[in-house]
Amino acid sequence: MRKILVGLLICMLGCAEKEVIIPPLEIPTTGRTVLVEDLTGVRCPNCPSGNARLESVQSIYGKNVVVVSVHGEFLTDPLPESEADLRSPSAILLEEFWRPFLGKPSAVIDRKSYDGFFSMVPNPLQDQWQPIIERELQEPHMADLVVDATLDNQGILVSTGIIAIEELQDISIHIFLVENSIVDPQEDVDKLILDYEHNHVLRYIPTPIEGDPIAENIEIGDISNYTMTIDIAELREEWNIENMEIVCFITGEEGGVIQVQTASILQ
Amino acid sequence: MYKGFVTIALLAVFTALSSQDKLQWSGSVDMNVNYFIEDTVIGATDIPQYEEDHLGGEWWINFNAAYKGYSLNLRGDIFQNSNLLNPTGSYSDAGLGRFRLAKSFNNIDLQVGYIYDQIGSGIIFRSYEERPQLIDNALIGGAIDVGLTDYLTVKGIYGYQKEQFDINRNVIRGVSMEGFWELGKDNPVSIVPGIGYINRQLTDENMAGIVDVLRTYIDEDRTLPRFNVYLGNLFNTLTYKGISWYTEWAIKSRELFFDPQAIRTEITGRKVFGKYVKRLGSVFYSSLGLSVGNLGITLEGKRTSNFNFRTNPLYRQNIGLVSFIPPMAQELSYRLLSRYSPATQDLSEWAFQADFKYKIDKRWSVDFNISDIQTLDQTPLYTELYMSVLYKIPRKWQLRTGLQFIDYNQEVYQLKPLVPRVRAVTGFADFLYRFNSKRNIKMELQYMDTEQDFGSWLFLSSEIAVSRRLSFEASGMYNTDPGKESPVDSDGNKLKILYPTFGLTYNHGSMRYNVRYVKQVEGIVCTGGICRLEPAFSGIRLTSNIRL
Repeated sequence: MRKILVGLLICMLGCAEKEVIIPPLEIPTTGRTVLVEDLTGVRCPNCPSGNARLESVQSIYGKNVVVVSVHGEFLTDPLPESEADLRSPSAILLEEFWRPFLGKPSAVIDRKSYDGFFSMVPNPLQDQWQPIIERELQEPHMADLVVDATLDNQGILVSTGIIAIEELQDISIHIFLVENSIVDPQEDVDKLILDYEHNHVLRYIPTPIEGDPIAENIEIGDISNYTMTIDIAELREEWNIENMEIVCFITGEEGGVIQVQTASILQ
Repeated sequence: MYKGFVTIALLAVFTALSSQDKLQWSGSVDMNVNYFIEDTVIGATDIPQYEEDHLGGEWWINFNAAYKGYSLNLRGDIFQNSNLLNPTGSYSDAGLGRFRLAKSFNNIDLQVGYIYDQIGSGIIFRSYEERPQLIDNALIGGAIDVGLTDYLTVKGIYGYQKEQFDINRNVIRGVSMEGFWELGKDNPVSIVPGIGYINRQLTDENMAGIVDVLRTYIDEDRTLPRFNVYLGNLFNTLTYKGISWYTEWAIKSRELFFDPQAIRTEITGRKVFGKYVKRLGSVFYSSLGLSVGNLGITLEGKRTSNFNFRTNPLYRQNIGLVSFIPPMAQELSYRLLSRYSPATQDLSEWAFQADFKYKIDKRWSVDFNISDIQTLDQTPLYTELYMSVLYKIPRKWQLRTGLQFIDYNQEVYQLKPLVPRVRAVTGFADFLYRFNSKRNIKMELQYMDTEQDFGSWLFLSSEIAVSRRLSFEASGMYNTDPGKESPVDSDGNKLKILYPTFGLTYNHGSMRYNVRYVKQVEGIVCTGGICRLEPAFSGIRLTSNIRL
């Protein structure tokens, strides 16, 4: 019995096994960009932490990671202290599109699910977001996307050009209008943050939720153009156009994001 | 490998059983069917079953056979549009839910397949099934019990944890030894001591996933993982006359787990809650039962520190649990009294419970229960005082009435930030009248008074058994004084909502059918000490249990 106890204690200490070394973070150098649709809400206490995680990822990968904050229906009712309502019909529609999801925050990364990670496309496990984003950043760079947005009396003219690096099939284009730097209350785990800065807030989607099909096939080296005008009537008074930008992305035949790009409206 | 294992095992069992000339068998079919009827006012909405296919359910088909020491258990599981796995999602799948073959010979019990077992009270290892939350942590592998002497048995287990119809490939292996001794002759003192050991080893794939996560942490927050975690426990039951005293001490080596209260710094400098940490874990648990004349006393105490043990550290909520830490509050069947149940806290908990049952005479008896749960840094989590009195005229009628006081830390248990503690007083009366041996009526009245959460509630129910076979029920839960979380109308006024239930139960031989129309408010559902937040439900529920 004594030998068993001694053996057990040795095992419990776990001294014999070496710890696994964590390799340093390597930043991918391809031109691939990744879209993160962040399902969030002002009444979601874990969302500031999710948002901080995405900010952190963006600080590493810069413009290669594009985030859109989707304030749909769940946990999004304005707080008594709120001045802004971050919900919009487009955000509600997009959140519906991603149901069912387990909870908030959940991140939809390039509109794909990944083997070895959470099984649903909207992923609520924040710790998995960065590894998935890194995996996507290392995927082949299939296309370049150039986006330009200009404001005039008619509305916002969005011009895009898709340059195929690989052969592309069943391409759809998606355009989102988002707003940055909205300072308004947000619930946190242990407090209410009155001066929380909400960024990338989805305001309007002029294209269909599934995207606007633009080409069945684009050969390598070919360029496909797409332009649209967002009617001035769609822009609400409370939106600050100075803080708004266009998020444009293209999806392939299985719905996954191929490339994403942003453009300021007032440059 | 998995399919091959099942095929070989099935061949072995049918060869073994077919060589016998007599077979004892039994079976059962358990079924739940839900028809979802959307009710946006109570919040029964926004899940797929309310919007698309409104019908969903679960079926469990069991078959058991035994002969001359051999026993076989087979279970088929079917889920169709089910909300049991994830209350806000839809789950459909079907397959072999359980296969187990066991054989006893001489002093050896051998079993292979899907094994439900535990070491001690389950703190370092428990494989079990809790259907109300679709927890099925069967160990897929083998187990052997060897009786070394009349007083000493050794058990070994090896396998993988079941995940619905899949297998988690992280290895779980362990051994335990239990003894039994009696000291003295006339009033012997018996002791049943035991020692257990469990090891879990991660696969390379799972370790890669963990490394992927930790790689994103800044150096100050980063901790280095290991493939193995080791757990051990010592336990003993001492019995003397009317005294039974169980004690268990369990420890866990420094293992990675997610601490939602730990502060992590993002690369941008922002501080956020929640990160993976690596700490030594321990649980001390003791239960003392005394029986003196008509008085029964049970005293329990538990101290838990950093004892989150799963097949994979990346799992959360009720997924992948290997350890089972006993709950420290009574499980009550009354609707309002069980509305705020405390889930076991595996990272930090000090808990005490005392239960007294006194039978005054043939007609009168009294129950008293007190429980107090705190974190290790003395943050109050749950306090309950409960008292009930039972008066009964044997074979004629009985009345139980009582009172419960609770103080419930909703912020911790339901992860709702910035909500106040729920302080509630609930009175209840439960009356049963027997017209004859076949017909009876049961009525319940409960009233919960609280200013927090959904506010105060009144619950009334009546169940009439018109024959041995048929009974009807009707109940209503009414939000008499709506609280902050109660639903509102379009003008923002709080609604006083009635949540009714109507149903009937039909029993015939070994068959039982129950159909109910239900409107149910959001709440915590606890089974076996495991709890989860269930959304509101509106619809029709059909359950049937058929024994073959």
